[in-house]
Amino acid sequence: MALNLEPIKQRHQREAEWLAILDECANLESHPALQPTDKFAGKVRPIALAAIRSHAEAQLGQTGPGVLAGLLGRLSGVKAAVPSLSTVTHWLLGAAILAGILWASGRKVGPGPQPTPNVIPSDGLRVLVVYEKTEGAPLLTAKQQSELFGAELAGYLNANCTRENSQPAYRFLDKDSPMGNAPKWWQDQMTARGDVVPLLVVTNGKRSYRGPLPDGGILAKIKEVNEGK
Amino acid sequence: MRITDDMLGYGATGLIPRDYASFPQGCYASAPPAQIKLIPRTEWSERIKDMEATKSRLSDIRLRGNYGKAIPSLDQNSGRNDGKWGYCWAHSTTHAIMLVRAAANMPYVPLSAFAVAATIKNGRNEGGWGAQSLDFITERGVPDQRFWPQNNVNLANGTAECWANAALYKPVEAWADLASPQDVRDLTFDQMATLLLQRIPVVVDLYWWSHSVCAMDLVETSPGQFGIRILNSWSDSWGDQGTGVLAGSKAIPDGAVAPTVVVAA
Repeated sequence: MALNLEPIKQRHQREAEWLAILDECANLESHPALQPTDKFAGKVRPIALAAIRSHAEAQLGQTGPGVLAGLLGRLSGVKAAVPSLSTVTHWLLGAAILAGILWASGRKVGPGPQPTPNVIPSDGLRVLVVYEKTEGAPLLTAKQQSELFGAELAGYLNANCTRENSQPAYRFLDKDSPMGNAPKWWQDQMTARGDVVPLLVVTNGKRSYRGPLPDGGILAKIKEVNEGK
Repeated sequence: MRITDDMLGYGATGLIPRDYASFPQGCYASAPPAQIKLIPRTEWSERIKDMEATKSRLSDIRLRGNYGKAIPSLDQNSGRNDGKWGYCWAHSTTHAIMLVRAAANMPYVPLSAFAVAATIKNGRNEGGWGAQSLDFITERGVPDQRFWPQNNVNLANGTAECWANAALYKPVEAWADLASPQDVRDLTFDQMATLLLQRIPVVVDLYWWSHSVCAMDLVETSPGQFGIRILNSWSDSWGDQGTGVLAGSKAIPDGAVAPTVVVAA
């Protein structure tokens, strides 16, 4: 089976990490553990699951456990519908992995530093940081925390962000924050819950960025988007 | 400003020791504090200096969290009853909620600690402890003072509209039971310090003072020695704009809880 990964490569053409992942997945069908032999048929499920775990965790690990769960769920569902799994093992694996990649590519924030190509709508500068506070580990670095909560960044955002009822439009939110009481713009952007955190979203309606929160240079990134420098 | 003995009796307190027989460790819903990955003491001094230099402490955020001005300290002392309301344990938690919101840059809203304490105590002037108020606020929230004014214990304030508003200020995640009833108190201090270094306010019960306050910052009081800067509930006229620094054993909590995530606005 030849996986057609070109559309995804095009989509992530600037992101080296994604290209590497896709190359790995394209060659997955030749993995010795996945060859459909009669001897292999009886043991196919545990081996297939182990192989998927191994590859998915290694290659798609940054997308979180949802990807792995999605892969396993899809494979289990197809297996139930097609009892003679041995004859279609590699097709199913390829399809499941491809489905996972497609799913992940639509949800995952690209690791590259480039702003997202589609401008996030806004009536002025808005900044959202999504991070994790209660995971048991300080998931923001000390440098990120000092910059994020510091006076210099606050001064810039207070002076430049658009206002919502007099409040400058920037928020630093835990990824699990209930959003029902927040204005719609924040609700829309928090659909990023499945994305990698900490996440930075910056837009002024003309240029925007949605990607990992820099570990140093948060203000520079925001200025880059807002001022086009 | 270091808190001196003559500052301790300025206002009412109201902490009563938690009844661990009736409210044992783990009875309050939260993430287990054992999951807190401690920031090593060797890093504290440098982190504190960096936080001071960048003005990124919770106390700094408080000073600009009210549309560029300071968030006023709530006051448990004024009003009727000769200004002696033993509701510190609800003010400390309410302050913590307001600081969590400020750190997220949510709009400043003055919240009513009296709504929490008066409702729990059915209008009586009685003491309590921080986890007790956090437990209540987690379930019902804490309302805007427009719905339930401070220094008012009239339960008629507690309308459906009031508590619907209160639900907008609920915490949904918290660290609770940081303190064990008797032991591992050093660990408790380190847990608290770790949270403060991450800009998470901590509700601190102090038996020696019979008082509950909100810890905002970890402070290096002398080389290698650490204390906490607290936000008291005795108005901005107390201490340094309502704040002061506790050092040594006086900074070690007998009970501590920390709301971390609140409803977004």
